[in-house]
Amino acid sequence: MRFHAGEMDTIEKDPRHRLAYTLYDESDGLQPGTQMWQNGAAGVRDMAGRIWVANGPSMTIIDPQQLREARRAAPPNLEAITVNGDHVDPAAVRRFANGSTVQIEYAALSLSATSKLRFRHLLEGADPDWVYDAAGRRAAYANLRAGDYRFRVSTSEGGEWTDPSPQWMFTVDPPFYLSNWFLITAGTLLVGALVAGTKLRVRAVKARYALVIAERTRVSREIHDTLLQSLAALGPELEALATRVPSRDVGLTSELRRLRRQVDRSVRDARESILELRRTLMGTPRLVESLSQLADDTETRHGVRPTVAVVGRRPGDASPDVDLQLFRIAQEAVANAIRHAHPTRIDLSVAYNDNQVALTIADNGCGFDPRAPINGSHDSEHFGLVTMRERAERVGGRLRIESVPGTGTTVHTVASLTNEWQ
Amino acid sequence: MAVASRPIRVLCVDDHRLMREGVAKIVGVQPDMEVVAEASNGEQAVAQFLACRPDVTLMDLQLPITSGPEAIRRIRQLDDCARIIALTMYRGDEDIHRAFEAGAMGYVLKDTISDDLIHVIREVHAGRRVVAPDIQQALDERARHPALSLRERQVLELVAEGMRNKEIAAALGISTDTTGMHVKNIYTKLDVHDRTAAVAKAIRRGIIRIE
Repeated sequence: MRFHAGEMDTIEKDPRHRLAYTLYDESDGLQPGTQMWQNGAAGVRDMAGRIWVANGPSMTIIDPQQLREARRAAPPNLEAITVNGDHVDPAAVRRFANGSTVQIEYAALSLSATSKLRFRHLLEGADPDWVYDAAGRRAAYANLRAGDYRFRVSTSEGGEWTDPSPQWMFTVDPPFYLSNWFLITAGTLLVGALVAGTKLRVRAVKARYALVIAERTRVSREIHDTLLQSLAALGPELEALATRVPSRDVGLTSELRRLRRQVDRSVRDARESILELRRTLMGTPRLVESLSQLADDTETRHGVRPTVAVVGRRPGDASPDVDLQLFRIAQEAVANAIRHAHPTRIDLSVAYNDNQVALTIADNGCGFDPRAPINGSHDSEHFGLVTMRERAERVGGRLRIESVPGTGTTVHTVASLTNEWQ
Repeated sequence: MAVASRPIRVLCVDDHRLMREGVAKIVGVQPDMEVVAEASNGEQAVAQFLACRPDVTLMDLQLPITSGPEAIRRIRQLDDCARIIALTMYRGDEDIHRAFEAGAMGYVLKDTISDDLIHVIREVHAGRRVVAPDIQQALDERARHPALSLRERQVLELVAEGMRNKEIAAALGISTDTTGMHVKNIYTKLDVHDRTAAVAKAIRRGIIRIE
């Protein structure tokens, strides 16, 4: 065996370095036999620089001038390739199914020294590093996953490794459920199904909504054309009656006038309900929007602009009925304040938490004594309070009215947001 | 001084018989007024006006066949001194504006008719225009906002029917882009940000009719 002295230094620095050497054997003229050691020396160098080595019964003379360097080994060949037990032609077949087992046998022709021939192989994609001197000069891989592979093999006769340029490249196809066309097709189908499903649902909701709209339109027209007009006509009739009552019967006149006012008020309520029906055809407006509208209207009609403060966010799935009922309560409370308390300031506030909403309407008007009995001339206002309470109860809440004469009135209610939408 | 003792002669136009009867009673109890004729649609109103030449005409705005504002306009064309009072259920600024634009001199809401009617009849008969403070406020508010064009009003009516831009475009024979532009202009003019708010505001202001 022969190597450059520098190789030792290299190995000392890098223990993983593979020694580059040249091996000499019988093919080079070495005589078989056991090496004899004499006086601690395995050989003797003569004047000409030749080395004499005693080899048992024979003698080997090495002339370093004559020594040839290690030959370049012949490049290896792929002898046989089996995929899943079948022989394949590496030039023709390059694609295999997922999970294939591949076995490659290789060999190289050495004209002189088969004994010195060494092999290494590497399947890029499967082997982490070169595999040296595999038993049987064979590489076997079971259950290959999808991907591109390059099989390389090179030989050496002790010196340089032959160029391990890729000898065979092949591809293992992914299973059908991972293939691109399958993923694209499946994705397209899934999206298509979602779109179709959504469209169907939207169409169903629209159809149902159209029915609701038609019905509301019919009801509002019906009430407007019949009930509201008849009710409105009652007002002048009662007024005419009140005028005709003999002047001595003052009680009857005021009673008729009270009835007439109540009728006028009912007309207003009914008209607002009809407007509301039409407005809600487009969906119930959110409480805060309605309150802003109420603030605008109040300012336009009465010159007082209520402030609107909001804390928290309205959950998206809150019942629209809560919006409507709380708005009605606010509307009534503001109307009462304007009509009786002459406030210079009205504050509306809404506070949401996860399952409740609180509404407060506070004014700085003249206030009233909530415990005082409501006298006859305020029947319709009494009716308004009752309605407010009913609305609060409908959305799972209670109405609280606090008022002190001279310091204003606060109307407060808390409604449940988890109320079923009816 | 000789004051004309002839009572104020009133023509009452309303498509609801009960309302006409109510008005007749409330006018009838006044010693200096009488309802001399009635009509239940716009066509009849014009005919009755020509037939009996009333001093004051009470005109409901929501009338079949010929609308209230249209009847007011025709009567004013026949007689530019005709004194007409609009009578309506609604207080939207667009309704009020249309009535005054057509030539009405007074405006009475049906829910305050018992309190206001007699006073307004006397004022209008005397040649004065009567605009209650809240009515005036509504008109002022309207004046602050630019009016919708005819096309925008058509688009808005279809929005209120729940139509989408594409459907509106098809219904009006215009492009979807043009429709979108109209809708945007409507938002700007009504000072709103979405369809729901636009329709709600249009109904409140009487730009879209309840019919």
